[in-house]
Amino acid sequence: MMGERPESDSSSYESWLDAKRNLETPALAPRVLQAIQQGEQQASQRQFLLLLWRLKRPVLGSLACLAAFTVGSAPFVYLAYVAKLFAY
Amino acid sequence: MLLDDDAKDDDAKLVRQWLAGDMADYEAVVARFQAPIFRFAYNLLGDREEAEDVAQEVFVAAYRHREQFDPRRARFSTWLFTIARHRCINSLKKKKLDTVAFDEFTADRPPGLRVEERTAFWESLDRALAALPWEQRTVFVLAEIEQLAYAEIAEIEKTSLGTIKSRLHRAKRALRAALEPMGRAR
Repeated sequence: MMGERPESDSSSYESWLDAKRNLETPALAPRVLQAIQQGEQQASQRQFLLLLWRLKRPVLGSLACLAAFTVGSAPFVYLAYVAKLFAY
Repeated sequence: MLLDDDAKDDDAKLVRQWLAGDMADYEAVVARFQAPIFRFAYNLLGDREEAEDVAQEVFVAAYRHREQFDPRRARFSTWLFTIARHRCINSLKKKKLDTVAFDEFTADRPPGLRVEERTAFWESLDRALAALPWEQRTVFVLAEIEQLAYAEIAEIEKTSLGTIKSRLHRAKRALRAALEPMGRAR
C-alpha cells in the first residue's frame, strides 16, 4: 500500500471490536410487551373456544337428555304405579 | 459487556423485582438487557431485521417461561444468552445456512487508516467472522465482543472451560489467517 503508513493491525482490530460493541440498538420493549399481551389474549380465546367445544361433546349432551327424560317421565311412572294398586 | 459487582447486583435486583411483580417491571428488564442480546444476535446472524426478531423472541420466551429461571443457579443474562443462542441456531436452520454475510457496515470509522484501508480491513474481519464455524463464532462473539467471562461462556455453551478456550484460540487464528493477505500486500 503506497502513501502514509497505515494504522497498526492491532489497533484496527480493537477499533473493529469497539464498533461491534457500540452497535445502535433498537427499542425492543414496546414490541416485546405488545407480543406478550397478544399472546395472552390469544391464550384466553383458545381456552374459551375449548370450553365451548367441550360443552358440545356427545357425552354431555347425552347426560343432559337422560336427566330431562327422567324428570319428564316421572309423573307417568307414578300414574302407572297407582293404576296397578287399583287393579289389585 | 464487562460488569462490576455493583452493576451485577443492580441487575439481580431488577430481575427479582420483576419476578415478584408484573409486566410493568418487565419493561425495565427488557430495556436493561436488549443491547447485549441484540448485539449477540446481530453479530451471529449478520442481519439487523432478523436480529431484532430474534431478540424480541428471546424476551417473549423469557417472560413466558420465567418460572424456569432459577436465580440461584445462573445469572439472568446467562439465561437470556442461552435462549438467544438457541433462537439464532433455529433462525440459521430455517435458512439452512452455517455462515452469514454481514449488512453493510455503518459505524464510524476511526482515524489513522485511510478510508479504503479501514473499510477493506474491517470487511475482511467481517467476512472472516461470518465464515467461522458456528461454535467458534459464538465463543468469539461472547468472549471478544460481549467480553463475558470464560466460565459464563462455558455455561451458555454447555461445555468445558478448556473447550471454550480452544474454540476461541481457533477462531482468533482463523481471523489472523484471513488478514494475512492484506499484510503481505504492504
